Amino acid sequence: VSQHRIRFTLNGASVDVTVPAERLLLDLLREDLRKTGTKDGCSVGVCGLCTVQVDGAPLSACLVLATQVDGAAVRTIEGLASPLQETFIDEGGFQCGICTSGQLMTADALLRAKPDATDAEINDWQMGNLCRCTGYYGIARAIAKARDGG
Amino acid sequence: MRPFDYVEPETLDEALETLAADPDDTVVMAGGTSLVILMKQDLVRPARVLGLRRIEALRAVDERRDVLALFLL
Repeated sequence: VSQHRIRFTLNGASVDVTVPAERLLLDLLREDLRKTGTKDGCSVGVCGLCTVQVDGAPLSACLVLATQVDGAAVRTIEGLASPLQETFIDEGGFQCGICTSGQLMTADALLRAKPDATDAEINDWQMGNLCRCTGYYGIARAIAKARDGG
Repeated sequence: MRPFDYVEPETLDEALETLAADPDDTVVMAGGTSLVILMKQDLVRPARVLGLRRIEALRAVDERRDVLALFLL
């Protein structure tokens, strides 16, 4: 089993840790670094609960080896400061809340990449984030509202 | 997931050498979205995972041949 020293930034702060090769980014975040805002859902990259941003791109942390973020900038829900957080409240963009951090991380990545995203693009990007309460209309409204300036 | 060794060669030659040295127990990983699932489910049990992310030659769009080759690392 190889051990790897990895250095990256997490929400702007430097992280320098040594991990075994098989350590997943999700477990590194939740268990080692105690950032539990990122949730563990299906564990096979389908549900989107564990979505984090790696160099701005939304990725499922359950499928990323910790070694793969060496040198990268990682953002989690703990580092998010976006109008989306208000618009999700305004529009009822969540029910039970289990998918919320993942929804927000994807939506934030979208609005950074495409500030003028169309409604269709919003739906496309959020397709990888399942809401088991089926609260999709509220989520889509919340993202559109943030796009339109809150 | 079972433990394994992880190697990240910086050149294609180095990667091919590593692969040739132990082809049966080495798997090549690009993004990992398929491989990591298979390893989690214990369907693939490599002794060694060879990561391609540091190989500059594989960060390219190659249009020189009949086919368009996309290396998205």
